Amino acid sequence: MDNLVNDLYREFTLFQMIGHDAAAFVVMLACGLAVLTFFGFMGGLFTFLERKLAGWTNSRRGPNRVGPYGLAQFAADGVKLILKEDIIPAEADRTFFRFAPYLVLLGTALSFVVIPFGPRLIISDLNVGIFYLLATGSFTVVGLIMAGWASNNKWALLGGMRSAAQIVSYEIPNALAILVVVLTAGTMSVQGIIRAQAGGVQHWFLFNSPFCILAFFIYFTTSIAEINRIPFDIPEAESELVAGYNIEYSGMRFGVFFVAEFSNIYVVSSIAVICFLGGWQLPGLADAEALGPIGRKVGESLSYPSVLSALMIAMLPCIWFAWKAMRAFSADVLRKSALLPSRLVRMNSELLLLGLLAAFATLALLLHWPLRSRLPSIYELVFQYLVPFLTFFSKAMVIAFVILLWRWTLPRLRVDQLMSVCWKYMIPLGFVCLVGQGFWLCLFNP
Amino acid sequence: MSFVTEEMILNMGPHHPSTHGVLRFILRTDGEVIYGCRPDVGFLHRGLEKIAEKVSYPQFMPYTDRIDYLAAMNCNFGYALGVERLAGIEVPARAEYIRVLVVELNRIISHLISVGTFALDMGAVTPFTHALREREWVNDLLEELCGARLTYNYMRFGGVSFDMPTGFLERVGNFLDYFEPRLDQFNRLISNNKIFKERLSGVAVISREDALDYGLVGPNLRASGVDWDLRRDEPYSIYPELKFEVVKPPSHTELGDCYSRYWVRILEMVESTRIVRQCVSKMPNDSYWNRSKKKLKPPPGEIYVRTEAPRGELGFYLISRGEDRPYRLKIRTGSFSAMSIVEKIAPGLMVSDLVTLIASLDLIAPEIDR
Amino acid sequence: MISGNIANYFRNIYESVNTIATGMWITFKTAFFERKVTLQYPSYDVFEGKPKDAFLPNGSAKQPFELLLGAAQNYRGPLSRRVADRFRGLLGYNEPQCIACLLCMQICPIDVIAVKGVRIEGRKGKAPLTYTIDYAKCMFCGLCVESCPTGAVFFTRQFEASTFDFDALAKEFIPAEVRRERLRLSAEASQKPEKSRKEKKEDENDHL
Repeated sequence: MDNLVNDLYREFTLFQMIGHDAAAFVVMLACGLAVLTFFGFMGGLFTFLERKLAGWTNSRRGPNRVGPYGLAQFAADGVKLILKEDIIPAEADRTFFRFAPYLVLLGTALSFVVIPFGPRLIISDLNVGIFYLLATGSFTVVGLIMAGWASNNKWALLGGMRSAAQIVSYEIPNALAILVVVLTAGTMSVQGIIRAQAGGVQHWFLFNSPFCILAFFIYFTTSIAEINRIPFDIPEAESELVAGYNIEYSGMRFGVFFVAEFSNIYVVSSIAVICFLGGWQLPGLADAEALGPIGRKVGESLSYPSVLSALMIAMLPCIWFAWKAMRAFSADVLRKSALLPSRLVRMNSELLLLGLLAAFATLALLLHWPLRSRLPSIYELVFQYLVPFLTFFSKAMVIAFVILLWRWTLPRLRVDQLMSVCWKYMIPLGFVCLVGQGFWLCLFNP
Repeated sequence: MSFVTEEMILNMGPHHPSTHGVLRFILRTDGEVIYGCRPDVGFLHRGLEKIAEKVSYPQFMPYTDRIDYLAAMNCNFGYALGVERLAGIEVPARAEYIRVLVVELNRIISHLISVGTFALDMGAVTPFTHALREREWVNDLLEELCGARLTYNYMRFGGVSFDMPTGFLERVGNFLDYFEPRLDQFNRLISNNKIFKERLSGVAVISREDALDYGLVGPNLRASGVDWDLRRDEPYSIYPELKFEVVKPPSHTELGDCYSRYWVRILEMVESTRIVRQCVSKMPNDSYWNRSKKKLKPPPGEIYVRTEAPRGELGFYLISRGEDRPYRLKIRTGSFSAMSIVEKIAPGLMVSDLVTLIASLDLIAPEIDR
Repeated sequence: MISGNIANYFRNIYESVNTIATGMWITFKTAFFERKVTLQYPSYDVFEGKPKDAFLPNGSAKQPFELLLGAAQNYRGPLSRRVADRFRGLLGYNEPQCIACLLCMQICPIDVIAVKGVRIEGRKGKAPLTYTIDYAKCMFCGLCVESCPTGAVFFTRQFEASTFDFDALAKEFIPAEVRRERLRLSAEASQKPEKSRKEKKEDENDHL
C-alpha cells in the first residue's frame, strides 16, 4: 500500500493538496472498505454455497427460489437478519454481549491485510506476514469467551469454555505446520513464500517433501478446528448445545458471527493456498510469453477502447433481449407472443447478467477516457491482476469446498477426544514434521 | 491449592434438538461430567388409556397409531391381536401375511429413523437425510396400500382393512432390491466411520444384569447380551413359519455399549428385509378381512398380549367386562423402561455422552407418556 | 505393551484417514452424480405427477447443472410422484346417496360428523336434514368411510385445506332451503294416514 500511496501522491494534484499523511489515510480507508466488501461478499457467498452443497449431498436441491439458481439467497438472509428484533437477555452483561461479535469479526477481518490476491494486490506485505496471521487468528477466542459469558446462559457458557480450550490448543499444531513452510521458504513474508514456490507445480511446497505433505494435512485439520467446523464444532454443536455460544444472539449480531465464521473459511483456505499450493501463481502461464508469438502479438495489440467496444457491440443484442424479457415479465405474454423460443425464455436471468455486463462495458469505455494514460495496459491488467486473482480464488475455493464437504460427511468429536487428537496426535506429528523437514532441507537442498 | 467448585444444574429441557421428542432431563454436572440425572416425563401425555375406556374397540384403533407413530403398524398389530384373542376372532392367512409384511416394513423404517437421528445427534447430517430418502419409498408403498403415510389405522379385528393393490408385491420387491445396497452404502458412510466409532464405543455400557433389572426390551436388551426376541420365543401370528435369526451384537463391538445397540438396529433391518422377502414369496390367496357385522362385545376376561415392536416389547393389557368398550387398557412400551435406565447409567458420562445414550436407547416421547 | 500401543496409534490414524475418505467419496457422489429427490411442490402437480410449468421439456424438473453432469440414474425414485389413489385426504360427501343411517356419526372416535335425518317420500332410507363435517378435528382415520353402506362419505385426494377462517372448517353440506323443504315434506308425510300392512301388500302386488 505504501507504493500505491506514493504513486497516487505523485500523479494526482488532489492528493498533493491535502498532504501525504492525509492521502495515506484516504487510501487506507478506501483499501479497507474494498477489502471489507470482499470479506462480506465472501461470507455471503459461502453461506449460499454451504446451503447448496448441503442440499446436494442430502439428495435435494439447495435454495433455488430467491434469485437465479438461488444466488440472491444470502442477500435475502442478510435483509431478514437486519430486520429482526434485537433481543438482549435481561440478565446478560450488556456491554460484553454487544461487544463480543465484533471481536470475532475483528479476528477474521484483520487477516485480510496480508492475504495477497495477486503479485501487487495486497494491502501490506508485512515482513512477518505469516506470524501476523497466526496472531490475529487468536482474537476470536476472546470474542467467543465473551459471548459465552455475557449471555448468562449455562449452555452458552459451556460452549464458550469448550471453544476456548479448543482454539487455544489447536493453535500449536497450526503454528508448527506453518513453521515447516517458513523453514522451507526462508521468509515469513507472504509474497516471499509464494515467490519461493515459483516455476511450476513441482515447486509447490506441498510436493516438496513427505514431511510437507504431512504438514499440509496437519494444517488443514487444525485450521478446521480453529474455525469451529465439524468435526470440531463442539462450541456450536447444533444438536447438543443448540448453537452453543450463539444461543442468545439474534438478528444482525448473530449475522456478524455467522459472516465471520464463513469468511474465516476463506481466510483459512487462502492461507493453505499461500503456504502449500503456490499462491496466485498459475503454473505454466507466468505471462503472455507462455502463449507464444501469437499471444505476444495479441497482447500488444490490445487496448482499452478496442476491448471495451468489442464487448459492448457483442452485448447489444443481449441487452435488447433482456430488456424485452424484463418488460414482458408476465410469462403468459411471452408464451403468446412467440417472440422467443421457449427454452430461451427461461434464461431471463442469464440475459440480464449479460445485459449488465454490456452496460458495465459501456460505462467503462466512457469513464476510462480521462484516465487512459495512467491505467495499466490490458496485458498487464490481465496477467498481473486478473489471472493471479482468479487463480488464487479458484485454489482457495477448492480447499474451501473440501472444508464444506467435511461438514456434511463427518460426525463431531467429543470434547475430550478433540483434546486428545490435538495433544496426542497433531502436536507430536507436527514436531516430527518440523524436525524432519529440517533434516530434509539439510540433506537435499543445501 | 484446592479449588472450591460448585455443581451446575443444567436443564436439558423439553425444547431440545436431541431429546427425541419432548423430554426433560435435569442434570447435575460439574461442567462436563454428569453427577446426577433426573428425567422428567409427561409433556406428551394425552391420556390414551383413559380414552380407551370411553370409545369402543374399533374406535380405539386410530389411537393406537399414535402410541408410537414411527412404527404405527406394530401398535395396530398388538392391539388387534389382543382383542382378537380376547374375542376369539379368526384371521385368514392372507391377512396374517399382509400384517407381517407391513409390520416388518415398518420395522425397517422405524430403525432407519432411529439410526438416522442417531447420526444427526452426533453431528452428521447426511446419513439422516439419506435414511429419510429410503423411508420415503416405503411411505409411498404404504400410502398406496392404506392411504396414509404415518398413522395408518390399517388393521382391523379379523384382518386388514384394504387388500393390496395390483403390482404391490412387485413394488415391494423393487424396494428391497434398491434398499440392500443402500444400506451397505450407509454403513460405509457412517457406521464404519472412525469418528463415529470413537464417539460410541465403550460409552454407557449397560450390563446384562442392569438390562434385566430395569426391564429393557428389544434391541437394547439384545445388545446387552440377552438372547431374547418375542418373535421367536413367544411366537404369534405366522412367525413360526418364517425363517429369521435373532440378531446378536457383532463381535467388533463391546457388549452393551452404544455402538452395539446401533449395530443391532442395522442388522435388524437386514433381518427384516429377509422376512419381507419371505412374505412376498409366500403370500396366500384368500380373503383379507374376516369382517363381521355384529358389534364387537368380547366376553368378560383379561388378556396381556405382547409383540415385538421396533422399540421393544409392546404390551397391551386388556380387561373386558362384556361391553363394547374396554374396562381397562394398559399399554406397556419399551421406551418407558429405557427411560428409567438413563438415571442409573448417566452418572460418570459427559454431557455429549448423555446425548449419545439417549439416542442409542431409541427413546420416543409419545411412547413414554402415551 | 508399548509396541501394541504404537501399532494402535498408527492404526488409528490409518483408519481415520480411510473412513473419512470413504465417507467423503460417498457424499461427493451423492452431491454431483445422483438425481435429487426434491419435488418442487407448488409448481409440481402432485395429483397428476408432473410439473405445472409447461415450459419444462419432457416433464422432468431437472436443473441444467444436472443435465450438464449427466446425472446417473442411480436413484430409481419412489414409486410415483403423485398422490396415491387411496390417499386419505379431506372428506367428501355425496348428498343424494346418503340415507342418514348415522353409522358414520356413531363410529367416529372424535365426533367429527353430525347428522340428523327424517323420513320423506321417494327417498330410500332417511333424508339428511343436517350433515356437518368438522374438518378441524378430523384425523383422517377412515372409520366413517369404511362404515358408510352407500358410499356417501368418501375420501378425496385433496389435502390443501389451509384457511384463515377457522369457523369455515365446520362445513354444513345441506343448504338451508333444502332443509326447510325436507322438514315440510316430512311434516306432510306424517299427516297422511299410515297405510295398513294389508294395503301396502296389495300395492306391491299391483304390478303382477
